[in-house]
Amino acid sequence: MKWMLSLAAVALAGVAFLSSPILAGDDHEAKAKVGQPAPLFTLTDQTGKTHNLADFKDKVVVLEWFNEGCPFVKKFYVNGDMNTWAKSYADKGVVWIAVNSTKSSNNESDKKIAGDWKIDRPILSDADGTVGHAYGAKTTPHMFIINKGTLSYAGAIDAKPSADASDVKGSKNYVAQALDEILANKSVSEAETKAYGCSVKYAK
Amino acid sequence: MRTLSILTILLACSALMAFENTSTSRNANVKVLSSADAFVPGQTVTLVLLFDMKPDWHIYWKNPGDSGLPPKVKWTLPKGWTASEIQFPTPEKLVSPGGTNFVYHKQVALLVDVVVPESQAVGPNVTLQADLKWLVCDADQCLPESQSVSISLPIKELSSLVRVDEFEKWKNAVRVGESYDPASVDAGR
Repeated sequence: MKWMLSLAAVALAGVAFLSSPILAGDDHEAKAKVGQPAPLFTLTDQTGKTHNLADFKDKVVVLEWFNEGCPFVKKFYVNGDMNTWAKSYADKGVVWIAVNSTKSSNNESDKKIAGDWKIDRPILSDADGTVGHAYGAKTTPHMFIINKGTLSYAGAIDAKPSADASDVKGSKNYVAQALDEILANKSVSEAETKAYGCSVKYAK
Repeated sequence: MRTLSILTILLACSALMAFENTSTSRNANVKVLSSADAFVPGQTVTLVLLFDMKPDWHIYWKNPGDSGLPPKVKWTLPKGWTASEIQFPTPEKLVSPGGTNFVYHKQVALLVDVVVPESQAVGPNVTLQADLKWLVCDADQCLPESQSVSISLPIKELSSLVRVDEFEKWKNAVRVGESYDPASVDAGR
């Protein structure tokens, strides 16, 4: 009897083990996929204004993962390259938004750096990392393009993985290529590339 | 007036120090070492790029993972000399909320094979310079760092210097030979 009971206990324990969720390398939510609807979010920017991705469902939106302390991000700001690109595509109706998932950042620190670096577009604060993990943002910078609600590009800005601003000129710009194709109603020829940069300094 | 100029000099010095990438300001420091104490015409010498990191800081493997950047080296070599790509030992796997990386903490020796051309004349010291760039990160931040290191060694003929690979072979043969016992060999037959 005692033997039967312990056998049953072992069997139950086995079932409990099998039915528990299997945790992979990290336990964050499923990542956004190119060709699928982009995860929706509502976040506030450095001026306190709230932005809801759903408000841009008819637009082309660029999400730029940002951390001012990262040399790979600075690379695109010391000569104003990122601001220039954002401005030139804004003129074509593209919404260009920075997202900061750095654990130590907040609306105030974003406001300060926006002033220092002449960033006149929103920097959304995602200090708890929810949106970063939903998109699977791995690096700063990590670029995503959403075309009318569908994720259409994910990856690096350009093809030269370095922290040197002198490498920006002459490097193939994947984001510009994808935006030009989207704006010309063409399919994106290189929709996924490997992002490079600092790791995103997530809170968890 | 004199105080003012001293002050100016002091200010200039502190400004210079702030921009200089010194061994104390860097989070990783490199030394270049050689597997032999001379360069030999026609032979390969292995150089060691020895990185020492401050506690908690890491540099990256050739495939850095989800983020990061491997170290890079630009050699300044005499004409006809060649240097191999950097050879990396097994990295550590580092998993963080930002993803997976392959890194080195504390200390790592990266190797580079340098081929000395046959045509190299025997003579006094030749200097090889390595301009290194790398990304070094801890849990909170990443910094690009750079350092130039060099090594100077004389050029010697093979006759006066044993080749490293041959020497290892001969040394091993002697090590084995020292335990040679004819009696046990006979008994084994």
